[in-house]
Amino acid sequence: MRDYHNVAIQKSRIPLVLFFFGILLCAITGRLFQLQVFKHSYYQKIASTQHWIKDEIPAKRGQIYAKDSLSGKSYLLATNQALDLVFVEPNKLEDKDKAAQFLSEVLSMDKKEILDKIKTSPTYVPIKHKLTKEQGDKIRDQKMKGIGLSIENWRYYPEGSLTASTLGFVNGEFRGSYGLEEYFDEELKGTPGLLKEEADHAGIKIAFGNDVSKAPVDGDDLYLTIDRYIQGEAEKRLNESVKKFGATNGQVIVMNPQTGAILALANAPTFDPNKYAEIKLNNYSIFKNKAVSDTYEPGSVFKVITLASGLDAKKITPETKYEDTGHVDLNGYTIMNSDRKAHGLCTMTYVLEQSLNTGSTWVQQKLGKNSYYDYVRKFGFGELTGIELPGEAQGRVYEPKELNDHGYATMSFGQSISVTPLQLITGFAAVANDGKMMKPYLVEKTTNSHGKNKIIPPKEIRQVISPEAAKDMTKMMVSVVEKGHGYQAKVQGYKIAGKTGTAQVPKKNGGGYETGKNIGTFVGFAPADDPKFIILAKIDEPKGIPWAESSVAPIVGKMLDFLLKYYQIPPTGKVE
Amino acid sequence: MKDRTKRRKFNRNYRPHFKLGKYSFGFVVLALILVISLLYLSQSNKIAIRGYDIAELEKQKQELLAEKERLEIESSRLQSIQEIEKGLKNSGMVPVKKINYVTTSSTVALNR
Repeated sequence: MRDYHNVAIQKSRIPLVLFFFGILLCAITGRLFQLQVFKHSYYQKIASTQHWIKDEIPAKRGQIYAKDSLSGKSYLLATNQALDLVFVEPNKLEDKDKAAQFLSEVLSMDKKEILDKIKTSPTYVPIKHKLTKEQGDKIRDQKMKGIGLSIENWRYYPEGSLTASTLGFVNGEFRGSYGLEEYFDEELKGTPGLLKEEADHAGIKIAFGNDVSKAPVDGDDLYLTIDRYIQGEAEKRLNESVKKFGATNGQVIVMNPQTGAILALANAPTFDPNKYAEIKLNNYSIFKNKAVSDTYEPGSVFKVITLASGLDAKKITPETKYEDTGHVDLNGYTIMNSDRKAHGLCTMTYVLEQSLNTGSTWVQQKLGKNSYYDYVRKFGFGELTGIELPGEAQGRVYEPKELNDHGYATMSFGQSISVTPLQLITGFAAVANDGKMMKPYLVEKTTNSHGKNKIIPPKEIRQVISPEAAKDMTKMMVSVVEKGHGYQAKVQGYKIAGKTGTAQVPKKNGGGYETGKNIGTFVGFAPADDPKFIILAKIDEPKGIPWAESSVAPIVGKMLDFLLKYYQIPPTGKVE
Repeated sequence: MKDRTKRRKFNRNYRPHFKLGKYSFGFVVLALILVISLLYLSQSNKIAIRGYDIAELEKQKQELLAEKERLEIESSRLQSIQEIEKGLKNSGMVPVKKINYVTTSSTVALNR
């Protein structure tokens, strides 16, 4: 009986145990189902992050080169540099004082400054950017816990401030600002790639694992028309003159009139694009390339455009005479010569040599307002040149209906019109190039990441004046340098064609011109018979210098002397 | 008694008859699977080791490329106009003042 009772008890316990195991099995199965089915994608993602490494591969920004016209060699103006950043993880430092002492010795920084920085965050504190190789190696070798290095990519300009206003710079967000860096930002920056491969726990790629990485496409390299030595000389001469005369700013442009290639484009004052962040907010105008972005009334230098138009329209010849009474009265205003004199019977060549306002007014009146307006527009004024720089100004040319006779008369000697220095030299280059205007350009070649070159050829805009008119105009301009106000641009043994211009500075709030202030401009080209280069120099508000022949003509003279020697062009006349 | 030295009757059409039982067959298959697995494991291991070697060489290559870039940049800086002008001051060189151009009617020059 007893045995039967025990067996019965045992038999009743078995289903109970089975029942509990059944519940446990269901619970486990249910949990597995929940993890592997409902949360499948969630855990798959976590697993993926553990055995896949994913990162963006930055593309290398394209480089920018200047050239040496004689050797054909290219020189780097802008490139990329990978430099160390040293950072501290304060919560991992064993001895903050020791760490600060070590860093202050290596980085030549104040120890207190480092300690103060360490206090700012418990987890991550950057200490210094752009370490030298030696500094990085010392920190790397020390292997101090809590101190680490990471690579940062920077834009670097090996030539410093050379061509700074043309290049621009790359800002903290790695975007081009000002200059070519901004204009060609899309082409220069390239396309980043993607690193996506299977890796082990240490992050090292598994050889037989999957790799779906995509290579980056590096940015295009730019090869400029700028000649490094000519640019250096232009900046040197310009900086000397701006400093000497206490001027507010200045520009020099050197161009090949036969192609439109810009050989030099200098602005003063300038900046070092490696240190752009040091420029104060109220001085940001220093980043602008004033040769293309700022307009001004060019003054007497514009008489070349007026007389060239008259020659082409066959209204005048270099020997055409007119009677100079010293003044012209129009619409209640009187136009006088700068020397306040009457010169009597004058030829057109004499008008240009002595820069007579009455003479240019006479030529403009012979042309008539409509014809004169057409010629001024044909010379490229009032339209963009299309130079590869951002912020180019268009200038202003008043239509005949917008200005009265007096206004148009003043336009003939460079007032009542606003132009950029680049527009001026481009218009003059047409005179130097048998009347043919070429588009000014800075980039002659681009090379993509596969090494494929794209050549940008010179582009003719239009035939502005006839070759005969251009030739006559050139002879008159040679006379300006030989006998007129441009004598300081003379180079012994060579025929130099040029024209000075001393413009008044308009008052900021309108109503006339500032007294005692002027803008000096000189445009010259050589050799006059077969021009190889044309130069424009402009100095704003030189102190104590009333005329451009004293401020800018000497710059052009020295530049022409340098260029004629640099290109080894033999003299055509006697050299004493 | 049977004669144990009696030779088996010679059969000209004798063909060796190989028979594998189901257990032996299974054992052979298992053994093959094991061998192939070991070979695969060995190859994978070798590839993985090579992979680490490649990763190490890649790292060295990147370091050398970085060093090359650094030297190229330093070379560009040393060839800059500013550096050249600094060097000119110490070299005693002077600017060219006058160039004498020689004109000749002949296109022949003496070769020494």
